Amino acid sequence: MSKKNIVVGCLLAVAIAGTCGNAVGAVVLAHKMQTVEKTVSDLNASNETRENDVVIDNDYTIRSTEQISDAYKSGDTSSLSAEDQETLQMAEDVLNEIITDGMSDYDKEKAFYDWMCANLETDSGSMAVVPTTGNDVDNPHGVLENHKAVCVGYATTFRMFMQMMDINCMVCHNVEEYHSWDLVQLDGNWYHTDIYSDVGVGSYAHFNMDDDMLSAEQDWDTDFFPAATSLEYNLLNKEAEDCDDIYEIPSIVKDAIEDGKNSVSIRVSEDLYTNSYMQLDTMFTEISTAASANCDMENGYVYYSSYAMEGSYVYVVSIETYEEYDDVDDDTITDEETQKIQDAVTDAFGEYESIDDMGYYEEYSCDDAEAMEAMG
Amino acid sequence: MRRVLTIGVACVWTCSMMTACGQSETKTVDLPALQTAMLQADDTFPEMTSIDSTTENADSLFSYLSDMDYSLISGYFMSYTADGQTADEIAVIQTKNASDVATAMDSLKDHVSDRVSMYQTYNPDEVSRAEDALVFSEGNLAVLIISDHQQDVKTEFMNFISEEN
Repeated sequence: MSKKNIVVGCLLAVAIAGTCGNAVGAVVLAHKMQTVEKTVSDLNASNETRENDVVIDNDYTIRSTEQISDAYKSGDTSSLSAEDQETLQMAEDVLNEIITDGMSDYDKEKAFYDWMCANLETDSGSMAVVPTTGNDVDNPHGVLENHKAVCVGYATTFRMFMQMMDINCMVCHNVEEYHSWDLVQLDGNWYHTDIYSDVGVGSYAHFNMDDDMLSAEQDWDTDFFPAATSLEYNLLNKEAEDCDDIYEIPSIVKDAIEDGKNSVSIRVSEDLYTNSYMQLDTMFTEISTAASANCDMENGYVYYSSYAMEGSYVYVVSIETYEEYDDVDDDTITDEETQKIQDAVTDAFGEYESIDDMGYYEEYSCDDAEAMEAMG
Repeated sequence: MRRVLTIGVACVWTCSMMTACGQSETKTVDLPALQTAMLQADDTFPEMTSIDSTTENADSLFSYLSDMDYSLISGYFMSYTADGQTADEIAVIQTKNASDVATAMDSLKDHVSDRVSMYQTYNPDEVSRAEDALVFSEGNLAVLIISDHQQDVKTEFMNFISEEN
């Protein structure tokens, strides 16, 4: 039994107790605890692989949302719970924003991928030793409401969108049960799409992969989940630039960055890959370093990954940039305004020693080790 | 006969030393002070969240660190990055009996394996840092350190323990 399984019951008590004066106290959320009340060990006890009612990473449950997509398709929402009706409304808002008449299944899939990569973000606390995820990060309701998700949240939300569009889609999970993603069917062929791994970048590195590509990263029950053997709708494969001379690669990447692309894929032959593997690896490492340092990438960085694709190898260079908060001017507050703020706080709370009085800013801005130590 | 007596005296002395060692191995250290000292030993630690055996629900939170029977320990603390983006972490488990410290160490190694698996999927950049985790024991204390300056943190730990002794 996993150590975290044991604690599920205890954590219920934590949730009831509410905050405990420590940041950790706020971590444990009543809703999540209720959902895992049917313990991880109960849900995952069976050795038989299944799609739904699987607990991932001991905390996040893959649940069917077919009732929502069925209601959307039939137009009858009477049997939906209030929460499911809210989920459907939020999903329809997205749908109305990005889906237009005449789109193919692939166009729709890509539209949802693009929207999710651009509008959702991974809950930052999900990787902490004691997870500090917010509520509902593993289901479409919470994901669409708060725009924060863990892998299960991305996968179940994407599947709900696909099923609303009448596109076959499954949520797949790895055998270790710590990650999940989607399998989507287009024109009869299945493809793996892992939005979690691309979110924020939208590089299509994990968009419509076949089994060979994903098997470099994950291990899943291939007897249960359908085989993904086609790359017809893999965008990287479709748009990869063929390259016979590895010394052309730097300019290809540079052009992509200057064109504002968030990724570029470069295909090399199996022979070139086999004979020049170390050179290629060194080339992409050097490009990533140089591009991150020299290409106005102060708020981003460049990295690469490689995949075997139909007898060749495709290198995917992802160009990740962060939003720069240019609008924030931290020099615009005057001493008078600072004093006015402190007076208002004093009026409410009484006399206190403000961080300004303690010299926090001055001390923090220097590298004086003693000052840092004095700050604790 | 004199030789036998010498051996006998040596055995008694050895036994008394072992007893003394046994007592010192199960002594209780000031864990909050130790935690502060270890955290201060690496000024590159990012913002850390800390939990210890005085935290409310400490027994249930301990399960995120170790699967060891909580009744076998006399105290613990762990400090980890608030958002989990980096692997930085320190933890100390103090067992009631020194004989249980190996179990505590094993549980910390399992914990490290869990963290490595998690980072393999979610932040591969941190895998090697988690894999390089330092896990060791001293008396009845099992220690985990994941830091860019883990030798400095370990030295601070050892200094603290020797000063307490």
